[in-house]
Amino acid sequence: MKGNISPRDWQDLSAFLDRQLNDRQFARLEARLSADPALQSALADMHQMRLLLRSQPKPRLRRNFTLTPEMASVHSGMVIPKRSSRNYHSAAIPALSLASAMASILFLAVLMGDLLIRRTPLPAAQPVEIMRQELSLEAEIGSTALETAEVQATAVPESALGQMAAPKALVYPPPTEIASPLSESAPAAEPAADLAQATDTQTNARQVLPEGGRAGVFGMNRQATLGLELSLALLAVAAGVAVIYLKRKARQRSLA
Amino acid sequence: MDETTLIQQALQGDLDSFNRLVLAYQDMIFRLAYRMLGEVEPAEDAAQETFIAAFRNLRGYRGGSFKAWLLRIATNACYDELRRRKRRPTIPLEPVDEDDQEIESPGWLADPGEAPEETAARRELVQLIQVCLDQLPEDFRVVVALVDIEGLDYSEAAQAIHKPVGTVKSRLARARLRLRACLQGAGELLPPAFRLVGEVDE
Repeated sequence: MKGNISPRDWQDLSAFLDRQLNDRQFARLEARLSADPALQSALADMHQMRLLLRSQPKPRLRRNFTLTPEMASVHSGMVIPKRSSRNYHSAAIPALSLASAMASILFLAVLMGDLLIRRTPLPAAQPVEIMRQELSLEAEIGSTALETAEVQATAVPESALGQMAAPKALVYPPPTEIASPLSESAPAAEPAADLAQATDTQTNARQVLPEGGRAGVFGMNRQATLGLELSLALLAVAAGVAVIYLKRKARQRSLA
Repeated sequence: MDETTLIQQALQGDLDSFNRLVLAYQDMIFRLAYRMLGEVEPAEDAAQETFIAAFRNLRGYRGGSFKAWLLRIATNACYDELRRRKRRPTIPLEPVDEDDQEIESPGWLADPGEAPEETAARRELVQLIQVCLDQLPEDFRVVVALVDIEGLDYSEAAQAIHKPVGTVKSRLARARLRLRACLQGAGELLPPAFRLVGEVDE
C-alpha cells in the first residue's frame, strides 16, 4: 500500500526521522502513523536505510592536510603585506576619484550657470538705464573738464594753448569710445590731461558692467569664467585618467 | 584554545593556529569529499584544496558556524572536481594499480578484526552504497553526505550548501527515496542484516 504515500508524506517521514518537524507537524504525523501501516512500513524502510548509511566505515586518512609555509605563501594572499609605494598609489585611488567627481560636478555647475546667465534676456528697462547712467556720468565728466579748462585758460598764454592742442588729438580715444553729444559739446581747448582722466573714468565705469551690462558666474567676467571652466574640466579628466591608470596597475599586480 | 581565538590568530597570519583548525576538521572534510567523489586520491586533493582556499579566504569568514563555512568550501571544491570529470572521457570507479588493473581490496577498506566473509560482505556493501551515492545527482548526494553520513542537522547542512532549510529537507527526502530504490534493486548484494523490508514503489 506504499503506492498511496505521496512525495509530501515521504518528505515528512524523512524530516520526522531527523526530528526536524515542528510540534504540530510531529503530532499530526504521529497520529497518522499510528493508524496507517503503509506509513509505518515506509518509515521503517527509511530508518533502516539511514542506519545503513550511518553504519558505513569511515575512510581513514592517509595523511594530514595541514598547510606548509610554502602552501600558505604560494596560495595565500592574506599574508600581511608590506607597505610599499604601490600600496600608497592604491590608497590614492579614492582621493583621485573624489577629486575627479567633484571637479566634474563643479564644472557642470559653472557651465550651466554661465549658460543660464548668458541666455536669460535682460529686462527691457535695463539698457535704457545703463545708457542714462553713462550719459549722466559723461555729463559730469564734461562739466568738470570744462571748469578746469576755464581756470587754466585764464592762467596760460594763448601760444601755450596752441602747443597743447597738438597732443590732444593723440590722446583722444577712438570716436566710438567717447562719441556722445555731451563730449562733443566739450570745448576744443580742454586740456589733454583732463581728457585722458575723463576717458579713464569712462572706461572704468564701463568695466563695472561687462558685456552688455551683465556679470558672469560668481560675479566673474567672461574670461575668468572660461578659465575656471577649462581648469575644472582639465582637473576632472586628469584625475579620472590617473584613477584608471592606477586601477589597471593594481589589477595587473594582483594577477601577477 | 577555542576556535574563535584560533581563527583570530590565523587571520593575523599565524599558520600554526590555522593548522590546528585543519587537524580538527580534516576528517570530516575528507569524508565529505570521498562521499562526493567516490575515490580516495581526488578526495584528498579536494580536501587539501579546501584548506588552502579556506586559509586564502579566511577574511571572508563572517562568523557563524566555521564548520559549515568549511563544508561549503569543500562542497564547491567537489563540484569543481566533478565538473572537471565531466569534461574528461572516462574515470575508473574502482581503484587501479600502475598497470590499470583493478585493485581487489584497497588497503584502507581492510579491517583486520573481521573474518574474510564478513570483510567481503562489508566491502560489497560499502561499494554498493558508494555506487548508489554516485548515481544520485550531485545536489542530492551532498545533502545525504552531510546529513546522513556526517550527521549534520538541517540548518547546518543548509549553511554548508548555501540553500534554504526547506531545500535541504526536500532534497534529502528525494535522495533517500532514490537510494532506497537503488539499494533494493541490488537486494541480493545486500548482507541479510541490512536488507530492506519494503518494496520499491517510487
